[in-house]
Amino acid sequence: MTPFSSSPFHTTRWTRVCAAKADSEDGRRALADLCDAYYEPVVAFLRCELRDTDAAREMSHAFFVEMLGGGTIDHAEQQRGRFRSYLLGAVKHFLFRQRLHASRLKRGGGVEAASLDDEEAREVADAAQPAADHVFDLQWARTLLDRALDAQQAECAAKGKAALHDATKPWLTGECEHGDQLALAAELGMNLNTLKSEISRMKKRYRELVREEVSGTLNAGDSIEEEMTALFAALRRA
Amino acid sequence: MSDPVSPDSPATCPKCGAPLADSDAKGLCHACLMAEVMQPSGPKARWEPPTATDLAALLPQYEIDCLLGRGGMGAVYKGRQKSLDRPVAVKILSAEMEDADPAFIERFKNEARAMAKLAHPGIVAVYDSGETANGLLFIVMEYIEGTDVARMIAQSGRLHSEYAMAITAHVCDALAYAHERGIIHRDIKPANIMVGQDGAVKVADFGLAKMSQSAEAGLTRSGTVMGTLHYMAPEALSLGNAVDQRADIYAVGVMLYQMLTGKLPQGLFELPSMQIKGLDPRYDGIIAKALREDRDIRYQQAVEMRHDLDAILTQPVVRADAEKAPAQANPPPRPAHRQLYRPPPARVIVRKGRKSTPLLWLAFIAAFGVAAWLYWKRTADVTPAGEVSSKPLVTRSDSSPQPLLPASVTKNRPFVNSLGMKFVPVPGTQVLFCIHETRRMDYAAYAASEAGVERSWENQIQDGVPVGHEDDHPVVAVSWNEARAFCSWLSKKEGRAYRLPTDREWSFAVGIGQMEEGIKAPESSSPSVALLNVFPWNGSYPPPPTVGNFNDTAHKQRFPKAATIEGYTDGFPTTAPVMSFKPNTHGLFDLSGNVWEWCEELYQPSHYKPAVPSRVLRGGSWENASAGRLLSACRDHREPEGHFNIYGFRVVLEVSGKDTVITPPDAVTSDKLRPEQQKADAVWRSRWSKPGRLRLHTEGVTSPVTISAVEAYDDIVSVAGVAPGTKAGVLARWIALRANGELVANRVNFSQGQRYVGIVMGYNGAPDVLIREGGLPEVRGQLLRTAPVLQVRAFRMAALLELPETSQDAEVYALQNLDGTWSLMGKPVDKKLLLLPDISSDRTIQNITLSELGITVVRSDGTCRLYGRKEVALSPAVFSSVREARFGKQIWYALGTNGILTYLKVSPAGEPDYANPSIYTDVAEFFGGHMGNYWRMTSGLWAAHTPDLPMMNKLNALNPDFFFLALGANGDLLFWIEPK
Repeated sequence: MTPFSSSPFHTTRWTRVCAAKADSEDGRRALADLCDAYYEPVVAFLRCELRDTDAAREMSHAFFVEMLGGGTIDHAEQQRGRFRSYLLGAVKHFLFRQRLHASRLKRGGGVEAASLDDEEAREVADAAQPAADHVFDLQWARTLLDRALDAQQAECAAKGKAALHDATKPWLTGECEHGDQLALAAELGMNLNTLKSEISRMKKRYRELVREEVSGTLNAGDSIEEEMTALFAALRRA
Repeated sequence: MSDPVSPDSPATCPKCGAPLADSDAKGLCHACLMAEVMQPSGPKARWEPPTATDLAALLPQYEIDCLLGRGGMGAVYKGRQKSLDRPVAVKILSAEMEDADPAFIERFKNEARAMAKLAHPGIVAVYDSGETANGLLFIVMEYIEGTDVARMIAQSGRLHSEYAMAITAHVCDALAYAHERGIIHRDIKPANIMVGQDGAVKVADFGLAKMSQSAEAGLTRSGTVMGTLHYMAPEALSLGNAVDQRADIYAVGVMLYQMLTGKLPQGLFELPSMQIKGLDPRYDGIIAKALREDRDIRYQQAVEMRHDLDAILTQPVVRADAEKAPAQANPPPRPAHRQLYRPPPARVIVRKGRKSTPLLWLAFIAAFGVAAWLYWKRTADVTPAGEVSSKPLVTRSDSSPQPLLPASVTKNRPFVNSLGMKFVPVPGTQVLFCIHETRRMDYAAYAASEAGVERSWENQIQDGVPVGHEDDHPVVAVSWNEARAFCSWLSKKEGRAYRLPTDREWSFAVGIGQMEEGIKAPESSSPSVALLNVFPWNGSYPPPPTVGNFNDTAHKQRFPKAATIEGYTDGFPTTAPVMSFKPNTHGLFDLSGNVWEWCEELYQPSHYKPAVPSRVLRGGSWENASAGRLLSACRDHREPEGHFNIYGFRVVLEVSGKDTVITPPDAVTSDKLRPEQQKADAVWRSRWSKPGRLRLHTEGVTSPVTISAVEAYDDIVSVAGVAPGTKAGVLARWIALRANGELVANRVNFSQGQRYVGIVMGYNGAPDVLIREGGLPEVRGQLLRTAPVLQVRAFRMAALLELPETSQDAEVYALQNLDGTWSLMGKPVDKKLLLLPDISSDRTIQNITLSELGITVVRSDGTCRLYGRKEVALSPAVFSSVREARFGKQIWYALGTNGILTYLKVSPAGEPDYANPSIYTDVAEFFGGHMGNYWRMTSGLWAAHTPDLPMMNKLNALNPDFFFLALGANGDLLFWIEPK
């Protein structure tokens, strides 16, 4: 799971990165924040490609070091697109260069036992899809939703409502059989109607948080709905 | 508060039923979270619909009884149209939507008009629409007393398959109607499918999804512009407006899955037949096809889906653990207030054997009404094997021959008549052939019911050995006249047209019909030179064991003076029971041997005039041994009145008028078979038929992988996806070819009666090519061409041709003809988009590989040329075969030479660039995996195209001669085939 960012929660902004001047501290910091938040999708992608969790983590680390080491912001083109696409493209290029380099050394020789035990690598999708890309998007969506949830949890904790949040968060997935609301209300020491309004408020707030998080990864003028739709499509194909 | 992965967090999402991945650490289903954010459910606080009284005041022509419900778009009321005194439903659109856009109202009116044009029993009718005085948009519709599918599912969890089937079929019909008129629903979901109290199924809210968009607002209004997220096709999620009717079909697939299982199909979802005990596995294929991400390979029209659903209906599969149909014990809980279906009609046929058939009939009748039942009844006349057809429920006059439905009679679904005789089509003819010689018992039925039938056939004895003495032996010692009399009797009895076959028809039956084209048969008892070595068993003389009943050692024991076939034993001194030996390709038995069979014609060769007029006989008998007499083309002849115990007959059935029988697809009809063709025939046979049986198992995989039980397959290709051990199953796409010619995908047999002999994997998303019996290539159910192939490659060259990735127009096929030359097929070839020399007569081509760069041709002199947008010579290296590998968007050619395997990277400009060569032993076979490409080397080791992917040590032990390794998409070993 993404470690909760040490800084107080604020939505990092891709727009800040894009607007930043070359080599500026501000831009670099903004990029670092974004990368920190969306570290997991990169790992997932590399794990898919390399079929080895440890190798994936190592390479992710190397990737971010390179990316944040400076210079990346300069020679990215003006039109970077949204952060999600940008990051995926960057990691793919990185991977390719790594492989090219490695291939010069290892061709035709060294034999390694194949790992058959990698649990995560086992979840695969239809061959017709470029699956590593899909894994990236899927993990991106999950990370995003989890971040918003974490943020909401922090907010509620700050208001002394941690227990409420924890108990009611199943209803964030919609109206369904999540348990007896009446009993829950009693447990939490409130009447049913109050509970219902709290749930409604939670849902509304969560929605806002998700939208904020999404917009943080987009350029000005990109459609939030479009990005959410794309992420939903990835989640549905999970 | 609680531990992220707490022990009591549910294993599946309560909303959509999808399994929760480990990474859903908070115990929440991410897909549902996102869906809820995008389309919040629950009451909208903002808008208050008018009360019934208020609305009635605004709509003076209607009485408004009550508010029925509220949805994302507005509210629905029950009312009554005063002028016509009929119940109506009045839907008003929530006010906030209209404010935004003045053009919206105009669009609304247009859509309402379009909806009003839809007049179909499966579509809720629109009566009126307009705007109230205070600006509310309303639609007046047919009122359906009943429920909707969403409520049914909520109440019962899931629906019985027969209800689900009936509902889906109705929806397909309604959609077909609407699509034909250019109207796409866009929001098919259970809540929009009404089921009336009388059992009628109607689709509601047509066009509403489109209607409620407002251009400026874009995608901002949740629940209005989009259909309900879970039912939206992938292209609808990404393209928005540019969807076509196939998006509706996708939604129907989701709905069908949901009705059958109670869950939404999420990601790698479990096939319904694996979840519901006894469910017909054909639903899996239908749902899978409706839910294809790529809409080009989805059902293209609603009628196609309907057609496949019908197949389940008309050919029930009896399962030992089958669900009981609703009319029997344990009916599914019904919606409390209504009964959905009519009780079945009073008279029903009870059939022997298949218990579930009449019950399905009941549900079918009840669901579809009597009119539809009559249609289905006709199809059901062609009863499956083993049953005797009982008298039809609807009496028909016996005078006119009853037409047969063409598509329903094939080799695997024969027509069975009142005596239990089975008939199958024979390509090249317009008749159905009885699969066996007329039996003693068939003839006995005739003799019993007609007076004065001659009785020689009853007690035939040859040197003390009885002939034709058992019921299931062919009847013997009937004259040509008597054989015809039998046919007349049978024709009159059934109102059909039975007769003897013509000599020409018999030639087709035995497989030499085309070879005799141009020959005036029956020319001579000695066939033409070309036919001198053609025998009915598709081999040479002497016949291999158990081919037919001839003059054998058993015969010789009883008749020591007889000449026999050396070393041949069939076990019968005289006649044998019909169908004791193998049938031929058309499913006909004993064409060779047992008894000679009378044909229609007079025997009148040009060079020889028989003393008395005689009729033709074909096929040889239990008494024949010599090669000349057993040739396919051999004719015997005899006076028509004679009774001989080596002569019998076979019956054919004419099909009337325009109900011509469709030639079964496994026959080659357009190529004239010449003798040299037969040799080529043998070549494709050896290419495609692989001897031996291969086994699947999971040895070597450390974590358990659930695969189906060990079965025998001949081939396996195209593996993607895997069923992890603990989860019950995923939509894994694999196809396997069984030794008996059936094709199985995900354990569902989808051969549909067609026998296959090979699979060729399509590269790069191009469809797999299935090879039918006869070496005929089939793609998407259609023959690529009607001539057999030695090899075929299938590829999608989208990037090269700058076409969309999934465009079928980008498909190119390279087919190797029997004579070794190659042909290329596909639109890009037709349109000359590729630079190609004329290769049609080039016999030096060893191999053709298609790729994004173009067409690589390897010739026997070792040279290799690439034809694409421009011609590139890849010499001076010498190559023996070419394979293509992909890594991301780079294209690497792995070129096998006699000893050198070279990675060839081709730059964007098309110039080859030789990377460091390495030494491998050979490139022997090649797979496209989805994570990468692998090939096997003759040393038995596997290598991947990207060198840092490790070689599979565990495969060292494999005998390289016996393999078809199925590799998991991530390269893990799923199963392999061990030597027989």
